[in-house]
Amino acid sequence: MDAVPLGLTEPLDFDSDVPVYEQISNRIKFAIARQAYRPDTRLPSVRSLARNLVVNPNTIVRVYRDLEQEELIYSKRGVGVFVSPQADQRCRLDRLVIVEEKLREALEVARRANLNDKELEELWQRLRLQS
Amino acid sequence: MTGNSLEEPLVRVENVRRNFGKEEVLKGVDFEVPRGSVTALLGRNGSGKSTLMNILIGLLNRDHGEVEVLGHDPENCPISVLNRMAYVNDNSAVWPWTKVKDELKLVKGLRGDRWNDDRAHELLTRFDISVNKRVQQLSKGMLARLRIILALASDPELILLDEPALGLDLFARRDLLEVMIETVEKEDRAILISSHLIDDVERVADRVIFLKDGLVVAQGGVEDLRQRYRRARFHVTTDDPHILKRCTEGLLGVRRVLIEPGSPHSEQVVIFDDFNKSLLAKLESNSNLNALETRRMSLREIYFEVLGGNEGEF
Repeated sequence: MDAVPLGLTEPLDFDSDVPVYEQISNRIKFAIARQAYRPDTRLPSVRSLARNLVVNPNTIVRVYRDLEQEELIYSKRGVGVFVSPQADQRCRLDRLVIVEEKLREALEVARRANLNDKELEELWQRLRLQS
Repeated sequence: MTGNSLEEPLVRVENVRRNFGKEEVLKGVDFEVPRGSVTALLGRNGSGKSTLMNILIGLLNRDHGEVEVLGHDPENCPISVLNRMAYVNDNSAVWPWTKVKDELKLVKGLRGDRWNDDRAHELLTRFDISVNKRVQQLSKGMLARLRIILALASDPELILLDEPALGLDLFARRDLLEVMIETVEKEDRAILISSHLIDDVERVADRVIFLKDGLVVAQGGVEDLRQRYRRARFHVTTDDPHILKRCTEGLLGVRRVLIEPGSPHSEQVVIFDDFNKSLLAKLESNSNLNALETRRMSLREIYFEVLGGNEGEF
């Protein structure tokens, strides 16, 4: 069985607003962005990822199909799926987009809770120091 | 009767009705189980799940409607077709006095060419079941695993699982999920599972069928259902608490309006069962209504929504 790098197999959140296939897809993008998988290396097989995450293999098939459509990965028949050249650069961009979206959501929560800019600024500084 | 092309669903149920005496247990049920899918049949106790399962394996006859399993009517199914399916519940027959290895031989004898010894022994090893134990000595979890092994080593195209995880601990349930995942990796196989355990179902099912009082009240792909079922929380800026209810009345795609227990009347929730953005825009065009947030509902929330009562309705 393939070794699956840390991060990919953390428990999924089935109650999340983010669909499961998107959660998995984001993790793969993050892993490519931080070069856990370098260009032209093989990604875990559908089978091993499905077993590790305990999800229906069709979910993984969909993730890989979407990533292939985005040309972040390519598949070789009977061998597996591989990271495309330059995928890491594009995944780093995607990573920004994904994080930006999370921050935007957090910001919306803060606005609805009527936090002002000063309170937000303090919060941001405190969190940055903690991380 | 039709053939078995890859596009044909493995199970087709059309307008199936079944009464027990005066009680209508199934009131016209329709669904399909496509190849390569894990389809979950969800419902509360007494919703008709087991009756439906029993009709699919030919244990019960229907009063009305059409059923095809592997292209055949289960009421009149040749053995060669029966041999391409497997059925497991927490009560399916084993020979309690035999040893596990003899149990395997007996089932192998019944299954003939489809039986796969390697698969049986691989699973026995993985689940740590000793072949020399008598079946009666196995714990509930081990017996459930053995039943699954007997079913899967027969390489069935269609597997019907009727509450297979009833009373099992988390380890046994995980083993069960794992072998289900392995089974659907073969693309032409399909699983129909009836279960209460929404945590397990949301992991492995691609499709769900919600059965309530003998009727299918919702069905579809898990992701499709989660696209359609949404909750939107509104801020109502007028003293009239019924304004949202009036605005949603008759709108297709809106299921109901509710106030969560403990919430003020100024915060109301709309549950959509066929959401689209124009519905939201239409509601927001009323200056007294502000959508605070909308989100997809989890499968668990959809479960309670379609199978439960109307808690919080006002």
